[in-house]
Amino acid sequence: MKRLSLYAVMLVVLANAFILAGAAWNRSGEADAVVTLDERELRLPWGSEWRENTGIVLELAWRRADDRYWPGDEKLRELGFRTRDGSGDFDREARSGYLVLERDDADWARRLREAQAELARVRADIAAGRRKADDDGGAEYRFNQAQGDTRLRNVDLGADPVELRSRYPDRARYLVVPVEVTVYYPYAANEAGETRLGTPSIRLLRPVLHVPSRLHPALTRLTGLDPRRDFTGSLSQVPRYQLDLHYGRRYQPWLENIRAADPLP
Amino acid sequence: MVQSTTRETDPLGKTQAQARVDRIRAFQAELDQLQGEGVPALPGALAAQIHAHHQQLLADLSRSYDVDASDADKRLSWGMRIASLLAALALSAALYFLFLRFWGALATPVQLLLVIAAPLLAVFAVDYAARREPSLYFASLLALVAVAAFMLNLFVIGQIFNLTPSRHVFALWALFAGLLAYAWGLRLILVAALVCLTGWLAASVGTWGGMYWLSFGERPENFLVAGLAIAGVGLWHRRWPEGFAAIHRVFGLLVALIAILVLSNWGSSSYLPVSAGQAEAGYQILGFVLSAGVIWLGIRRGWPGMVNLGVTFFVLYLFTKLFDWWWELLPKYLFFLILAAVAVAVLLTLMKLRGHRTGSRP
Repeated sequence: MKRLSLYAVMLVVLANAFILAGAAWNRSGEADAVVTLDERELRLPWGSEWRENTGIVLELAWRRADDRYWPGDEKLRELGFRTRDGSGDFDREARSGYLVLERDDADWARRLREAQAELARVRADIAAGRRKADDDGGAEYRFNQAQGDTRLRNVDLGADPVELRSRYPDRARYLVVPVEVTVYYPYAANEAGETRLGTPSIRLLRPVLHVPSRLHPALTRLTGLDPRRDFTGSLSQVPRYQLDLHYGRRYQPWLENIRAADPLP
Repeated sequence: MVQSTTRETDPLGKTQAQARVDRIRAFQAELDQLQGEGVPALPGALAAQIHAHHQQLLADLSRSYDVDASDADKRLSWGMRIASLLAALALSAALYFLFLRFWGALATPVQLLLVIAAPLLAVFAVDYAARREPSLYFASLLALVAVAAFMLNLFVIGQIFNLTPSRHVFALWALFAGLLAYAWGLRLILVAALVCLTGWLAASVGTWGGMYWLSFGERPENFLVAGLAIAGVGLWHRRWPEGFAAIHRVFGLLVALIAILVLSNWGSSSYLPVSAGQAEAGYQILGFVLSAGVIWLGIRRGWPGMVNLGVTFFVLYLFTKLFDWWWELLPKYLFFLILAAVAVAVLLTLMKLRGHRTGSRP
């Protein structure tokens, strides 16, 4: 063989060895976080483009704070966003950072109670004849949505994952996740008339998580779907499975320990 | 016998052999023409001696380098190149979908074994094909499959371990493709390497500017730097196989000129601390200067690819400006008449330049 082609062979071997060593190091030692999540947060993807792909992924769903300017200009500057000549025009290109996500069961339960109360009110109105029987104003839909909604919500954003972890030390409750942040509409002003420097868009760098093939049989059994034949996703209002989501030393995730989901409270 | 000191598949040897064949065919055609016009060209014995020597040379070169001995051979060669490119693309796509179709049923170690073995086996297949076939059509096909297999390799490992996307995979792909291209003198694979290298350079420039690398497409100047760097290497490096330096030059300048074209119309995407209008004006001037410089350098060094590239972009920049200035103002027939006049003016200028170089009037 030619010498350069031998170098190409060595490159393949060394690149794979380096990447696999990094992946092993990520999973060694104490994980940065191990949070148990169920189908509300780890969702089967929709769409038919995966019909010919027998690999399975789960989408990590999180709920963003209602404030569209979150996390605010100060945090954006911490990530490296700059303004031009004081014009308030943020750079448009993305910056990398780390997002803290909290598994907030209490917040989920509160939202469910509100939706439940609204649905009860509407049903009472229908029973009393104050509303038509087929017009619940979307209350039942919102209740179903609240029931299947994710418990993960954003609580902080920063450039330094170690500092964020020190602020949120509960590793079974808080995830520190690598994200890409982009600022849109840089001249935006909010409803109160305050000038704000931008509306950030936050995207997880790994929004979908690979499910190892050893977990496929349990996932198939728990969902009643055959991923190798027709796996277009099916969002259940009642979670059917739960898994442990690990984030390792390099903030790279993996899934373990699939089992039936706990019943909803 | 031909004094072939190079190996059978040496790209430098093959290129030179093809050039020699072309010269021999031109020489024979001119001799025939002279004979037909009744001009005595060579004494009979000398002509016969030269003819015999040429026939021997053509036979040796054809056997050693699989050169095109006629125009029909050349046309067939182009067809074979296109067919091998299509076959390589289809085979790469088949490999990708085949893996996706079955990997869910395989244990992780088996998945890893398959995706790591695929590019390695493909490299050995390239070596085998290159030994069996000096024209390298199958070697080029298999080399592109090897590059696709290495891409699939790193992509799948990224999926299995949920790795954070990294721009450095482009550098690995570029290096792998570059090694295969240089090992066997495969120009198509060199282009694949340069595409990956451009991606890595542009992403790296963007990262040095503070952005997250996946946004590197937001700033065309990232590509401008990458293109100029690749073209610069092609301009100054002389020891490569013939044709490789030209690919570097033309590819790099093509990337740079496209980046300038985008910046000259979309100034707000520039890094420069000036207004969008000022950036556009600056890049419009730079576009004209650079494309004129490319034409000048191409003519001076005898690089036809660069002349064609420079002329194409000079006219493109000019038409873009004319559109900006006059599309709304002028009746359409007048606008297109002006475009035609400008194109003819460029044509006359180039004819004059050619006349100066050949010493004849245009």
